[in-house]
Amino acid sequence: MSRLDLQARQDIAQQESDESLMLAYGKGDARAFDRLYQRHKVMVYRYFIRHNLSTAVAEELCHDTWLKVIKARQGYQANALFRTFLFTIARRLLMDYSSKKSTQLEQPLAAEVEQVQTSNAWGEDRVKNQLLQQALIQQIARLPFEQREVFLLKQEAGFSIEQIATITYQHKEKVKSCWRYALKKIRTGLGAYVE
Amino acid sequence: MSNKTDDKSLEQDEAFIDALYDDLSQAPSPDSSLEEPSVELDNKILAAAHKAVGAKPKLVVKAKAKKPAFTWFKPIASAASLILVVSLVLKQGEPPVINEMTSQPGIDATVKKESQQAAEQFVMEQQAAPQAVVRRPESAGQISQQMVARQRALAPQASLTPAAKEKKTLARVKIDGSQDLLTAELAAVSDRQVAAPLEKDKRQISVKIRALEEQEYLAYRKQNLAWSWVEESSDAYVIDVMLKDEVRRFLLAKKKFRLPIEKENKTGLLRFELIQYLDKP
Repeated sequence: MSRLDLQARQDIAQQESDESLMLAYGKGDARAFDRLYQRHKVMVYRYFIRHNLSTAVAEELCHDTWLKVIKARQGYQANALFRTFLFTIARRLLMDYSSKKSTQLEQPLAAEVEQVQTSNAWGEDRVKNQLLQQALIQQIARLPFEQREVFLLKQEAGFSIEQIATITYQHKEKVKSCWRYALKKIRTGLGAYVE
Repeated sequence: MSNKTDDKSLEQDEAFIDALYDDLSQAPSPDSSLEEPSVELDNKILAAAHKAVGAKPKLVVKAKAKKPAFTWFKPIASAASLILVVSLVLKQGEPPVINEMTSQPGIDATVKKESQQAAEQFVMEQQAAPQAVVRRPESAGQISQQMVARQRALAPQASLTPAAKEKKTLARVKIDGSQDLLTAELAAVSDRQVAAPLEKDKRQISVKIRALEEQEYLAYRKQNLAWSWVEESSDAYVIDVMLKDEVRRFLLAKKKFRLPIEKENKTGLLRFELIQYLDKP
């Protein structure tokens, strides 16, 4: 590969990065936002759903998160990752929501497990995987909020400990401790499902 | 020692979770829509994003489009105005070229032709009788000046236009059986039109007038031809008789003829039976 081709590929990769897309949207390119949204919409939605929120609440928080991104388009600066910027907004909205309506946060887990068991008409391996997935979701939901938040940001969104510390405005060692406890609880809870 | 044990335990826990997520990601989900936002939410967010940036570019384009149009229009308009003013000033310096004949209002083609004929006749008379009046040889400039003066003298003939109008009006009249009478009337009008200007310039046209003979009177009375009054003197009348092909002017001695000349008869056509022959044969 020639040097020119390498440079061209790097330019393309640079153009396709989240940060360049957000800057382009800030200058009026609506298609850049379309691509950004397609990349991160599921991750943001799962972040809310995994906090054991109803579908309606998760969609409402998703909507508010992306509207805040739209409003902040002109003031956005590529000093950090776009994902850090995005999940900082999402987390703040989640915190506001949980402080206002703390009673509506939790959803009965027994109903979900029952739903999986009754709708199962698949093969043995598929049933096993589905049960394992549901058990994982239950174990995540049972985590304390701080541990759950760190676990979701690390495992679902792919952030590092340092990035999570930035998003959650916490010390790195505390984040690492939360991560450690969250993993141990989940592994213990899933012991019955994993050989 | 305990830190090493904790780090080893953490690594095992991370490996367990990673393996679990790999297995779950490869396995098909019974309802993947539960893990994604709805289409309605997608459309709502994307519409808001497009609306937010939709109005801004239009304003920028509009402001840029107006500016260059104004900058090139102003100097071109100024240059066009300057050229127009200079050309008008230069045009005013030139002498006016005005044809005296064509500048006279009301002169139609007939009058122009007559004027030209009169001028030509004047020149011919000057050339034909050089002995009668001793004159110095005239230069071309003098002759042309005389012709122009002559034409100016004839220009008032434009006042004949009422007669010409009368002729045109008569020509428009529908002919219903009395074609001869109408033709005669047209001829009379034509004669009056020609005769009137010639009174002022008798050299131009000489009208043949002769005395009406007894034989002619009888023949015309028999045909009951039309005639019109021209003028009257102390001892004679002058009338125009409307023949089929021409109009003849006759002198009727008052000793021999009596004409019922009244005011209203001096303008219209009369019949020959009204003429009384006094000296009956």
